[in-house]
Amino acid sequence: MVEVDAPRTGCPEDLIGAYALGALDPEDLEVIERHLALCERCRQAIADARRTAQLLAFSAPPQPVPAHARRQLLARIRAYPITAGVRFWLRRPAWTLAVAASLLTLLFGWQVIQQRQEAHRQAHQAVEADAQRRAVVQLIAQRDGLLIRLQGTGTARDAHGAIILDPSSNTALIAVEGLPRPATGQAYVVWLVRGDQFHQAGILPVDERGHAELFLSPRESLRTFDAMAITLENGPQVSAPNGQPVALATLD
Amino acid sequence: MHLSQPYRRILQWSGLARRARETTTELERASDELLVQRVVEGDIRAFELLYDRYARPVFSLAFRMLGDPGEAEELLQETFVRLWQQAARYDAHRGSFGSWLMSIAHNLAVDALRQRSRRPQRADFVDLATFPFHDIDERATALEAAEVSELRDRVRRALAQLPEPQRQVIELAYFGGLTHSEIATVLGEPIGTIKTRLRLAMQKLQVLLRDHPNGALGDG
Repeated sequence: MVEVDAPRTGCPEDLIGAYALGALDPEDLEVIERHLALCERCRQAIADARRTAQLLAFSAPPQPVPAHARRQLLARIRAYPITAGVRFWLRRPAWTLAVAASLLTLLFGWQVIQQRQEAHRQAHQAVEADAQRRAVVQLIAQRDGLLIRLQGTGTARDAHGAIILDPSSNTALIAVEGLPRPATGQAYVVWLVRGDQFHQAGILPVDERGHAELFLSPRESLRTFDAMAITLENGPQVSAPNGQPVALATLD
Repeated sequence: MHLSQPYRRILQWSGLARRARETTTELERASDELLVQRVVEGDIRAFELLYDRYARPVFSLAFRMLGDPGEAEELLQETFVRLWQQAARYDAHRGSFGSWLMSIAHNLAVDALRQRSRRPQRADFVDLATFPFHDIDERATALEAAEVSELRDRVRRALAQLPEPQRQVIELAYFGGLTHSEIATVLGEPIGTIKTRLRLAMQKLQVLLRDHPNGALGDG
């Protein structure tokens, strides 16, 4: 479309302020939007008017905000966990997502064709991923602050890893390696400890290589607990720890 | 380097651990733009600080437009939920964070007004009575962005300088969510008169507020 600098007399000046305020009726809206496609001067005038219109929002008489609104809002926010990875992709322009989707489609098609080679590749990647996981666990096990080292005891004395706490989102991630696989019927149970009370927080699943991960998002604030414990229990349905202690970490 | 999602999370959280050494005081001094970037990365502390700065103007706008504390509170929460979900859409080159957030709130309020078709007959219809709140959020009052208070005074002074008929149409359009024809009906005036009045009012407001572009907000 050829852009022209429309003469001022041909511009729907009466509509510019109302357009910026969102106060146009549908027929006027159609008129000005057709005009804006052709007139750079009016587009600039709209931008200026919109900046002024936006300032009106601040003129409302100040009112006190109810405190419970913050609590309810934060509870809602925690129900919308968006990982940094997802947020990163959401920041990309739409065309990059389209390109990424196309590339993924091509990749999957190629993988179907190359299935035999892929099997070898996957085996190699599994070994590589195993080494990387070990490296990551080693890395975080050396950290401090919100990274709490976790050292196994008893039959799990070779187990080590970390609890990563994020008080701001009231979540925790337990990552351990070197855990013996539990016998059939047994399970590693994670407990949150407050004083002499133990609250079951979940079951710690262990893979064939002894890696274990558990993501916790308890209803109660993690700040209110003194410690986190892992025990080996005869089954996951236990209300109090009776089995062998595997690890204990204080949460201060 | 291929890592499973949980281990990606470990790396992400390691970043959070480093960030935890940053004191709250340091973060409180951060600009809106930096806090928004932190929100994009999922930092709830940054999100709360932005809430502290802008909860009151958002809530006040919502109450001014909807006239109901409960509905205003819902709109306040919805505005900040959108911030949490869509922070990456904020572009500092297109204006201040405060104006961007208030635009979200205003659009939600206009949608609410138009959906329920229950609009005030006049922009000053709303009874700005004292709230029966027993639990006022003192942080949202104490930590409100200083620029918000200053801007509130400036815009209110500018509106007060408009002739009453011009101020009235601006308020009916912006706070009442009314269109040209609806304002004409409410005031019993020809639509052409309303169009001209609104144009003159906006032109005068632009002159009065020209030295205060909305980019002035958001310096933390």
